[in-house]
Amino acid sequence: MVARSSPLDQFIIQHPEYFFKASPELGLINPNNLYILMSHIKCAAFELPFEDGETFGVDTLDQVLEYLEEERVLRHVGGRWHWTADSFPADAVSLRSAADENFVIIDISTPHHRVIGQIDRFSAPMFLHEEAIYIHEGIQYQVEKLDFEEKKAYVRKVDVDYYTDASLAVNLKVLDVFRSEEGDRIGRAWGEVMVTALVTMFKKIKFDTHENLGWGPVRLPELELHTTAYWATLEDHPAGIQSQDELQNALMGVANVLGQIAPLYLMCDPKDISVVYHVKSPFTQKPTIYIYDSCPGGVGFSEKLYEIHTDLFEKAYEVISQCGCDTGCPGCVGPAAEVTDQGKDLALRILGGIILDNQPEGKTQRNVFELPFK
Amino acid sequence: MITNLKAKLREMSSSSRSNEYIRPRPRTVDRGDFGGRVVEGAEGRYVLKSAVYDADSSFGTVPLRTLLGADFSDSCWWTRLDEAIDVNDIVFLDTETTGLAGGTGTMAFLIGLGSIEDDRLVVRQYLARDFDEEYAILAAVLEELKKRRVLVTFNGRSFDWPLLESRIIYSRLKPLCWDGRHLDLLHVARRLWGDRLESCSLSSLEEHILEHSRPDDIPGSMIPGIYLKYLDTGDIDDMLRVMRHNEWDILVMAALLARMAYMFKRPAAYCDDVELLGVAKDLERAGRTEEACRCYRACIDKTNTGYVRIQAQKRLAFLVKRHQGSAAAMDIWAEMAESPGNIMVLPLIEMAKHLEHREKDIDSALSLTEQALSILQTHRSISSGKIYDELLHRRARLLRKKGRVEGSWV
Repeated sequence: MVARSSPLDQFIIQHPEYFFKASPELGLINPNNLYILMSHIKCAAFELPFEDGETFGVDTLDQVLEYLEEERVLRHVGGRWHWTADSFPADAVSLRSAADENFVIIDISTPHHRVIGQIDRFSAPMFLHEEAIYIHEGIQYQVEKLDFEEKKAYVRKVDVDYYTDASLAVNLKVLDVFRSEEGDRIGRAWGEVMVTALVTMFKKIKFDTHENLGWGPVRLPELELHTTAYWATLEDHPAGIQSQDELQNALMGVANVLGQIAPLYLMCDPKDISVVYHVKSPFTQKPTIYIYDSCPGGVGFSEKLYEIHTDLFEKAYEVISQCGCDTGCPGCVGPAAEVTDQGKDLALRILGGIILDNQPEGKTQRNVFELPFK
Repeated sequence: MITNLKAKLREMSSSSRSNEYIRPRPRTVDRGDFGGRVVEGAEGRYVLKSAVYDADSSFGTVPLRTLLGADFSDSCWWTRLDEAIDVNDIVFLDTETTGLAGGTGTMAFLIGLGSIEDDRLVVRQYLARDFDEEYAILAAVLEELKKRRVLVTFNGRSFDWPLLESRIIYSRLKPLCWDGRHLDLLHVARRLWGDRLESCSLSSLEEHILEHSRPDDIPGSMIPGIYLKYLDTGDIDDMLRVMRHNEWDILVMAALLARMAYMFKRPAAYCDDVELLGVAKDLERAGRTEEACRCYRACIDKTNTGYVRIQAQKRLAFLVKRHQGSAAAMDIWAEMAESPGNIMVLPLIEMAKHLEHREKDIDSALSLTEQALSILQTHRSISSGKIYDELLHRRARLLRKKGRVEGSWV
């Protein structure tokens, strides 16, 4: 194995057992994600009418059917729910994302314009803001114009040695808690959140070295994402850290590491989840790290994280403590320039304290999904 | 909690309705008879509307009498059915559906059947006034279909029948098998008029072939929406137009079938040039070579269109060559080659082949090859380099042969 400087590569090279011994697959799906469920119900109803009293995944099926009748998609007659829209529902289902609205990406490099791809509404500001580098079939395109109203992005072929990374200003509000567990030093919870995301700027990052080559502003409307999240709540002054600044740097370090390790356990792309930390969360009133599903409605990542919570923090401690750097690097808590010289040390102190607190819990239970909207 | 979930669902959909929710029309109200009569059978209720057309009525340029008098005794070669049609034993079928894309969730809410009874054309329309009447119309239509030997549709092979079949299966009724007994007029129409008409849709054929236009007709694409709107509001005005449209479609099918029967029976008398070409192709495909040749010749005599003539000549020449040898095709090739402004090299090549290999007339073959080469040199763009290379090769071989022949004389 040959590793680059990315945290994921560094983690694998330090933990070869992950690569050689772990199960190669983990399928995560949340069939009760309202977006996914709705698509399933529509496609099912098209093929064969639902009958009164029938169940399909959830107890609340009749309410969903009533809603669809209000929308003139179904018609309830003779004890059955008949498809009554002049459309083929499976056409509207995307296998790449749960939400049904999308932006199309149009290549204008040649006089003959061509649609080369699409991206869901929630991801569009991140990946299709003007000047973003969008990679399609190994070819780089630069976004020249984003027509937000019409949901179109016009891109042109370029050949550059950098990619772009947009910064999100994220505001997260907890709407509902499905499961939670208190602890002395750390508590965990899984629930429903509303994330408002505003892309503020983007960075140009050089291939391989990850050097920052510059930045640019992004002016796009704020987007709301209704999804599920897992969060870990720390004590008021974890590891005796009193200063707000120090706590901020320590949390940033821990959040960076968690955001890199979690995808390994979830077997997802790092972009499928997002990490947010609050020095004092308005909801828990304590220092809190949230990890939420980037997909509307959530596909089950956050529930899985709730279950592997202990492993997650142990591995995070291991990654930082075994990292060869002095005061932080992109391979662990992030560069010292971001988390300051004490960042690595502070993060380790917090994680060390949490690990001591956690007793081995044995195997996690089989994954049983609960309704996210009871 | 109930309102909670619905509110969430509404929030999810971007097209949030600002209007207050209007309940769909109650399903218990009197559904009306749509100008037909309400049948209450063991399988449920539905509306049956019948219309009768006697032998003297006509559609467009085609009187019904022509269908009654049509001779289908020798028709399998063009209908491509397993058995000859008996006009008294066919059933026309056309459906109106809740969607045009098809798929199992699409329902046929109106099924129109047409059949010949006592020298009259009887059209029966089965209407499901709501989804719960579908079973009843399917059961009734199946009973009616069972009485007939041959099913006649327009695009029914890929649309109407598969759709009905899957709905019949979903209703746990027993579907019928029409293998070898289903005549889809669209396929025949494409063979006859596909080259000439931009669209071979039923309405296009009606307008251009039967020279009939419908007053106040509704486009087929609007029909699913009209039914869904009727379910919602109970407004039957447009539904009556849909029923009229369906009835018309059955009449057009009957008129088209009559027209086709005469065209295939006596092509020289009833077909124009393009139609002759279509019939000839069918005859050729069916192995009826002599009739095909006659038909191609009739087409060549009749046509004023270069494109049609060339098509017919080319097919005729190859057909003759296959069956009577290349000598017999020479006249046709020559006629093509000598037609004013000819830039086709195919006839020249075919003639050169025959002259070289059969007649051993090297000089004439060489001269035709030179002629073909000069056409290609002037009109480079019309041909691939491959044909050009082959011609060069042919010329080289002919020159070699010529040298040998001349040498032997010395």
